[in-house]
Amino acid sequence: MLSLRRFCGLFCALHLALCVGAFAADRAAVFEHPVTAATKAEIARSLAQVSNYQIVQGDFKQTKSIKKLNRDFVSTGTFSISKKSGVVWNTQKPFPSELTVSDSSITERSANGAVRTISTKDNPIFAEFSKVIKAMLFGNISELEANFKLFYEKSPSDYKDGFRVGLVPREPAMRKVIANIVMDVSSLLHRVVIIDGDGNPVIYEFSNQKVTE
Amino acid sequence: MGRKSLNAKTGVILWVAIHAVLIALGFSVPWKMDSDLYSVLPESNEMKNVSAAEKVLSARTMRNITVLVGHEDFEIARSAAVALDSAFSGDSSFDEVRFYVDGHPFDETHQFLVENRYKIQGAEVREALATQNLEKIKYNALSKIYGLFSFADLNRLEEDPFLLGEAAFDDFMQQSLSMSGRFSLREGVLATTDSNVTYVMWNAVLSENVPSMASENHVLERLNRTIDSLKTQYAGLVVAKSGVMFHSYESSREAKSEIALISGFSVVLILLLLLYVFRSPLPIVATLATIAVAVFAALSFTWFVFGSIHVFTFVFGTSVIGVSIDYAVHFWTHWKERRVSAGVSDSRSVRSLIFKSLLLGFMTTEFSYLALTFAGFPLLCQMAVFSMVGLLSSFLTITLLFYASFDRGNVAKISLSKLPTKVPNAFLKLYSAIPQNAGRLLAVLFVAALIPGLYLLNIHTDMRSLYTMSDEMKAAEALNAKLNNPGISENYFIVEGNSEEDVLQKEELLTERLAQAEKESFLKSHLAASAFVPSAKTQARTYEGFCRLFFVRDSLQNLTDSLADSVKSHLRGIGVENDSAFVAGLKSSREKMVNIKSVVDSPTLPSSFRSMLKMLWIGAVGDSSERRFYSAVFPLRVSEKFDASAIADGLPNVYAVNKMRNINGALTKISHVSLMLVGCAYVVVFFILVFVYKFKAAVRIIRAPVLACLFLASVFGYAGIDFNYFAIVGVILTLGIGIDYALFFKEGGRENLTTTLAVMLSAATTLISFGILAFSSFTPVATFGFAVLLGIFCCFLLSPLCGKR
Repeated sequence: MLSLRRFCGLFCALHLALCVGAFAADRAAVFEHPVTAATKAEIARSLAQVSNYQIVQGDFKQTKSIKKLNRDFVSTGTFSISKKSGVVWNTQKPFPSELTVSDSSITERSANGAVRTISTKDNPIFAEFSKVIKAMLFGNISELEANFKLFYEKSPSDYKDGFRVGLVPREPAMRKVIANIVMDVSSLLHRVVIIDGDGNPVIYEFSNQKVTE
Repeated sequence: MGRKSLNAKTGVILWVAIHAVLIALGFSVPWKMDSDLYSVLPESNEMKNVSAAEKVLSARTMRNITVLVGHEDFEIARSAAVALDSAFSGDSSFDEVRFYVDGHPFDETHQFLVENRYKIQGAEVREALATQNLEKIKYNALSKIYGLFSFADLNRLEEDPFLLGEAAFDDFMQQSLSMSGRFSLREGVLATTDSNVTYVMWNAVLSENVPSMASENHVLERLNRTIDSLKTQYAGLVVAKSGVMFHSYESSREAKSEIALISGFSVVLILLLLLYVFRSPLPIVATLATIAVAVFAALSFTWFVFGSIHVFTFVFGTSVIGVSIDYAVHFWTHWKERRVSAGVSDSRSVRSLIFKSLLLGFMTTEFSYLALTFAGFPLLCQMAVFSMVGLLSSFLTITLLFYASFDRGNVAKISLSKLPTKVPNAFLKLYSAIPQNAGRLLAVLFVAALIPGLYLLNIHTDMRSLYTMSDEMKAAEALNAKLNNPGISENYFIVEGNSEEDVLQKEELLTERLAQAEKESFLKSHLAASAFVPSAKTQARTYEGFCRLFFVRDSLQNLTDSLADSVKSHLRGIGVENDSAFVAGLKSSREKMVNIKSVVDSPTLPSSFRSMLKMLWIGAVGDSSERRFYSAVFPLRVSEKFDASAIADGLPNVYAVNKMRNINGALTKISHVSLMLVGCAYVVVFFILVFVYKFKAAVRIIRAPVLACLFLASVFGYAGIDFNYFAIVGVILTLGIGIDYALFFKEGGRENLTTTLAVMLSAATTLISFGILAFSSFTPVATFGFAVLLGIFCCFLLSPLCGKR
């Protein structure tokens, strides 16, 4: 079942997926640099670069670390971000499933063929989520700002010409689920870390990326 | 003389005693005005069984109000809404104010569902349990653990390796989301954008002690003032208010000013008329006093009988002015005529001259009203009692008090101006000028002209067409419906049971049918208390289902404490090496049952959870000897094919309710019953008239009001106006009042100028008081006034025909 928590997760994670970035060693440092008028324009320009690609495809690795259990849960697969078809996440291991996000719906397909779909018409939260996705695709900073406090750091990091964006949800309710998000961006998305409400990190690493201009 | 004096004295004592009792009774109870549009509506047969429960539900839901504060700039809308919330958040007139949304309710609900995960589960998990589908439950857990962007709480994986708490929470969120409309969280408040305006939602529940009647420091008046001041402070602010209480408040405010206007205008016009006719203050002062006493006595007694007076009764009650004035006018016309031309041959009192017609008129009217009290409609009953007591008071005042004060002894001629008989004289001449054959022809043509109108008559009552909202209220409700309505339809269900458990079990049978109807696309979803807190039977079945799924059986097919291999394999797969926390949690839940009442009353649970349940769970209704338990189930976004009655069919104690349809049906039925009752009363009246006047004369008397009613019905038919319940009340009143005119003519003679003047004056005052009602902004009052206006006018024109030439 796709829950609100999950929507929140999707909501934030897709912000990241559609931004392009690189990840640095000390990600907390980004929150010392709130976005200024000057850096805001810089983010907008960088996001506009991302929106130039018709399709971005590659592999992903998700690592959920649960501190209390001292345990990591790792899943891997492929992803595709297309201006026309939306976003497809194809998890292959250890648990095959497919998640498709489009303007009008979100669909989850399990290995046994079971399909669950929620349309934006029926779900205002998802409709809002879709709207922000569009804003991300088109580099609409004002829409992002409506939902997150933005932080920005010009980052030498692991990626050439990269920068780091920090996002803190404005809503206290959402902060219960996601404390903050840090993403490293160059010309492509490389790594994203989401810290949940309990302080557990979820790391998304993207590799073997191919773009269609 | 001595005997007369004694009679007069006894009469006065009797008058004082009766009025003292009527008024004292009124003072023995607290006075309360009621303006709720629905509170006095009739109950249909379908509703009778669940009427008390439905009233509890209505009273609860009608206290909810919503204010949408909008502006093109979200920050301004939010600031204004914050100011509104600050002004009222601690106000004792509200039981609850909902504005800020933070994460606490979210966590508390999550915690509650995790704790009760082996008892409370949604349909999907219960279905998997019913088919012992462990794979499905495993799949759901794994999708939460490994799925992308899933933020399920994995901290409790040792105790809950199948993430059943998360599954229950997901189900709850889905139910909640179906109620969320278009609003979503924005900076700690609920907001949405429509036509470039961002609206922030402010919700509140009014306390039970907040009256629906308008008053100077009423909380809604204060709310209006605050909103006005915010509009001044923030240019371009748009505010949309929604809720039944706003409508009740506005109606009562308008009613108050209308009552003052209608009463004032009627009184002034009638005073001018009386002044013109009598040219003396005595009849006018005495008549006004008669009216005042009649209205006060009627109010007091009605208050005593019903505990409160509906504002409609009060508005209709102003017509008592018109009705009771007839008797006074009749008295004073004869009184003056006798004073001007006294001492000629007749030394009888005025009372003895008019008593027969007055008594018959009084009796026939009271019979009609009495019949209405049996119609089974509280409002009609209230109006009838009010009018009966008002008329009784007037009748007693004239026959006892007026007699004692102005009517005894020998009549002495005094210097008074003559009565203005020019108009009645011309009126009578007009009648005399019509040849008998021409009169018959006119009568035939009149009756023939009525027939097409009657054929076109549409006897139908639609409550929705009777209440006209102001444009502002209409726009506000439309906006709320667009942004905030989860799709609750007019159709819903009330489930009745002997106990809480009985209700929940019956509700679960209903929701099974609704789930099937959802699959067939008859509706999108539904809301039911049992979806949040299932019956104990279902909770036990859910728990047993988990045990059967997770534990192995021994050779006797009894469950052991050992986990099934597939379960162990799942635990190993997700890295849970020690199963003791899981097993202990499952075992310790065996006896723990979630009780709906404790959930609804629990202050520790989040208000969002409780308020949702409070809307659905009606609870115990009735005293200890007849206590029954109820809940409401709301289908959401139904299609045209959705048939609530068919779904409830065969389910014991499950009632499909469509309040508006039920009320309209009941009103139409009561209309017929009322007409039948008045018809029966007329048969009795007719027999009395036959007894008093013989058959032919009785027919002549009764035909005037009967034809007048057919005339008014025909006009409604020709005009294409729905002949609704309130028009039928007009018919009843026409029958009640109109017969008086015919009786006066019968007693006074067709060519008696004094009688004609008295009837003309009576009709004029009645037409004034009812005619003004026709201009009321309340459609029911206006319809009623228009019907009586037509009926009385026609009756007045026909009534001279019953007198002897």
